Amino acid sequence: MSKVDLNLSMQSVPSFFGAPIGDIEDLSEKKIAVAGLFCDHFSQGEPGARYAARQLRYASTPLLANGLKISTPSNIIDVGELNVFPIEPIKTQSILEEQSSRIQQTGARLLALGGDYSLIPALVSGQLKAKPDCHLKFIRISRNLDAAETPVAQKNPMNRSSATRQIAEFCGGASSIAMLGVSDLSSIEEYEYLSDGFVRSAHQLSKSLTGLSEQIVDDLQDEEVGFYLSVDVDVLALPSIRSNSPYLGTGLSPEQLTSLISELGKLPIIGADVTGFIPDLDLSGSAASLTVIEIIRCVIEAMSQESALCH
Amino acid sequence: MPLRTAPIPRMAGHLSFMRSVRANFEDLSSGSLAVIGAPMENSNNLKSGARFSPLAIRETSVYFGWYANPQFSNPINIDELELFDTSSINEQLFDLGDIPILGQTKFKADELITRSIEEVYKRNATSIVLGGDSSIIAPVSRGIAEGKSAAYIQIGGKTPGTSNTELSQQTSAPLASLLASGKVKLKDTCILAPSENPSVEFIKELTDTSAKIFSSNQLNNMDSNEISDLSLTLSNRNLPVIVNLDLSSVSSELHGMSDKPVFNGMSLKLLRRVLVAIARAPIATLILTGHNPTVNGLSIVKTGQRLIVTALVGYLCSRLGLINDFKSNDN
Amino acid sequence: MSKNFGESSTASATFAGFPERNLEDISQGSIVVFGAPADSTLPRRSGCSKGPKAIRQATMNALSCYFNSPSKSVVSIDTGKTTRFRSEAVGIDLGDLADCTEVSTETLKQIEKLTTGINDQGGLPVILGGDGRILEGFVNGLQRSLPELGVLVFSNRLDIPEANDLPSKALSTLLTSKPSSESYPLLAIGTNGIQPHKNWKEIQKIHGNIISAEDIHDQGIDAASNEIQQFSLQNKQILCVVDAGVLDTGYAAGTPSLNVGGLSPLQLIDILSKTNFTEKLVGVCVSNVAPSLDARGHSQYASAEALLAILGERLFEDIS
Repeated sequence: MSKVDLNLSMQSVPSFFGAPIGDIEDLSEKKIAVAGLFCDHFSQGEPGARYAARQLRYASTPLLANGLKISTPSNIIDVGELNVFPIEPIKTQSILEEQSSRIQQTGARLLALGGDYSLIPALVSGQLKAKPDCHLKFIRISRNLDAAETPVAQKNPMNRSSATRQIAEFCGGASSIAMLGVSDLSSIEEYEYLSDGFVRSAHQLSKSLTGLSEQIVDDLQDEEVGFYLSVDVDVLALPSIRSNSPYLGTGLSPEQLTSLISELGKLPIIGADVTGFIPDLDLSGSAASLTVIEIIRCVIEAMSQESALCH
Repeated sequence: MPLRTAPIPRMAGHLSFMRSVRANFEDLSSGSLAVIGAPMENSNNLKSGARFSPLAIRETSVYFGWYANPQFSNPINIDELELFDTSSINEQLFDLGDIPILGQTKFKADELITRSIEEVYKRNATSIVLGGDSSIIAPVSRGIAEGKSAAYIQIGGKTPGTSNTELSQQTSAPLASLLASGKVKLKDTCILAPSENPSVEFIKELTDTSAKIFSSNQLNNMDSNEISDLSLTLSNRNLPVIVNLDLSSVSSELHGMSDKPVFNGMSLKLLRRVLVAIARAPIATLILTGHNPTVNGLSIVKTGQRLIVTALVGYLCSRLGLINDFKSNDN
Repeated sequence: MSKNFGESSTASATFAGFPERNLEDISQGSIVVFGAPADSTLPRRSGCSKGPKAIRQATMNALSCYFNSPSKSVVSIDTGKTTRFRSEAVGIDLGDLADCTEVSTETLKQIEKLTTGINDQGGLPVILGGDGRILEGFVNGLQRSLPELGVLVFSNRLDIPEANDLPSKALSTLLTSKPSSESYPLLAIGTNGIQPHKNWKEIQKIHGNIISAEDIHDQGIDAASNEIQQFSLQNKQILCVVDAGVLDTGYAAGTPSLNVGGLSPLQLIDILSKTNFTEKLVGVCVSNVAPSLDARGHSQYASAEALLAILGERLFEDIS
């Protein structure tokens, strides 16, 4: 036997931030269930976001994070990938709703990573089903409004470009929606639809974030709320980070985005996602993944904070 | 009821080796096969990358996790017309994860590897150790040999210039340090398809001790029973048998992922046949080395990784008794 | 003649562990290696400037099994043959030519001059390329004192490529020796694919012989090695050229142009291992190795093994 007294425990397969791997029975209040979304099939634009969860697991594993010390948030559990049916949108919508609802029913909060925005309405719907008494407000950080007219639901229930409108319908109207980081090139019809909501462009946010959360709460006229935070990587003004929207050269810097997310931590965030990231699959792409990992860490911290503004 | 009620897409979720059950040491028993990663390497900057091999092999191996999908249970190997009965594989194949070597000194890392392998071996389980480079062989062997000695089958890799360590200039041949430490005796060694011609001194030493060495051409002309006799003979000496599979045993044009190109190495078919044959003996551990997945980038699928996993599937199915017959059309 | 070598690019390896020396150190019968890191030009892919260094490192890799043995001897498991590396073989590595990063008339003259100098002092010049065009300077350098030069070329093409302002030239036009009814001064091995008709005609003019890659695939390596033996009987002085482009791109992609249907590394090495014309060898040229284009390292390694096989008895001794 060895003379060296060593605590022998194995390093499991890669998980988000090296968090314990669990399932529904491991979830409870105060826990954040981090789940991957292996699906990018329902949106136009460049595919690849399906691999985001895997690459983000790698990027947040110390072995692969180029020696960076990435500490594990203590309240997260990696529950693996949510079920999806990549060629069956109706089935996918249904099962995502169900899984989201079941997670929320345990008292834990869901943080979904990877995939794209077309999947999020189903998760929000599941959130509402789990807590029908909770007024859910939706904060979206993205360059796009994605509030186009909803196409015939039967034909394509999962459509990124109309996802915001779908979510607004779930949450009781456009007044429940806050859109942050929007580019100046959005369509007038979508702006008009969201006129009752709270919309701030990337340019406006880059000037100052002071009091933003208070403004969101004021504008939404209701303090008895829970918030769902949806972050899309397309809001970043970084060509090195690929998202499934074409790079426009405008947007937020990673520092501005993390500051924004920290500011939003004053709100009671009961569900979140980070989507739209198309990772490079080679090691050289890990720099982009590390940036997104920092954004995700910020979201986790925001979700973990006690709300300063709402109850 | 678990969170997921349907199968997930092939490359999704937590990627354990062949989608096997993640387990701890306590879950192992006699008849178990544990896959364990040892992401350790001594390479310098230009050649580093072997430590990512366990990750890369697991990533590729999920393509072979068909038994976990009820639509594809009991698959057939159409090349060999072999039927695998994989219904019990979930009770036998486990992934223990990686030995946490990162940030440790070499001494501590070696000890961690040795202790981990001891834990597997004392439960009468067998293992596949995903290296790392050949620096993991010595600590793994210590974990198996437990102060005594072991038999050693080397597939691919370099041979020492001589087993006389005072004369030997070669420090990178793993067998050299095993012989020097007494963990392995030359007479209990068998070398298959080494990556380069052995020195005349070493050949003489092998011949004097009746140890065996075969080139890939010679292996190609042997039938599977002759190959399996090599490992059975060693195991009949009441010694634990350690197998080191180095990727340099395979012709480099099939993968291009090892340091030194080998143009006259084994084909995949031959490698698989050799592994299936030697797995008839109670192999204590198979150590995989020589694979650097960063050579062509670390991506979804690399030919070399596919090749390794294809060969390993044959090995573990043979080792777990899931293949019954050898076909007569070996060659 | 002054040495005009740049900063040593052989910091980590010299060819076969030869000492790095100067021109003045050349002795009769010594193997004298130098590099010409001239890069290839459009439309071919660049990368050849790293060729000399890569070939040197690959030869050290290939010889590691010999250096590993106390007696520098290894055994072929297949044949039982024992071979010793002649550490007493006299050889020097001059390093790489400075100001040789691209092919030009000036560069070719430099190569010609250096080759002549080596030859005059009784050394065996071995040039590590670099773009295949360097062969022109090398041949010119040898032919100054060796008018009856025969050229054995392993290449997928029948010419040397155009480079900068220099037009391509058929291989045969490089030679000044006149063919006779009994001998031919050019043997091309491994040529394949579509070739310009004029090159073919030029080779016919000097009664050159061609063994194509397809011949070797169909008939085996004996088709080439028998022909080489015949060629060596008929020629008193042989320059051997290995253009890495003779290798199939699927096996070894590290060359400026692509070759589908070429030789495998094993075929090239086996052909050269089976033949022996070392006594008549007056020069060796290895060219068109672009290591950055081959992530697997096969091109430089195959070229290095081929070069070692060509040097044969000069470097190795059969013991058994």
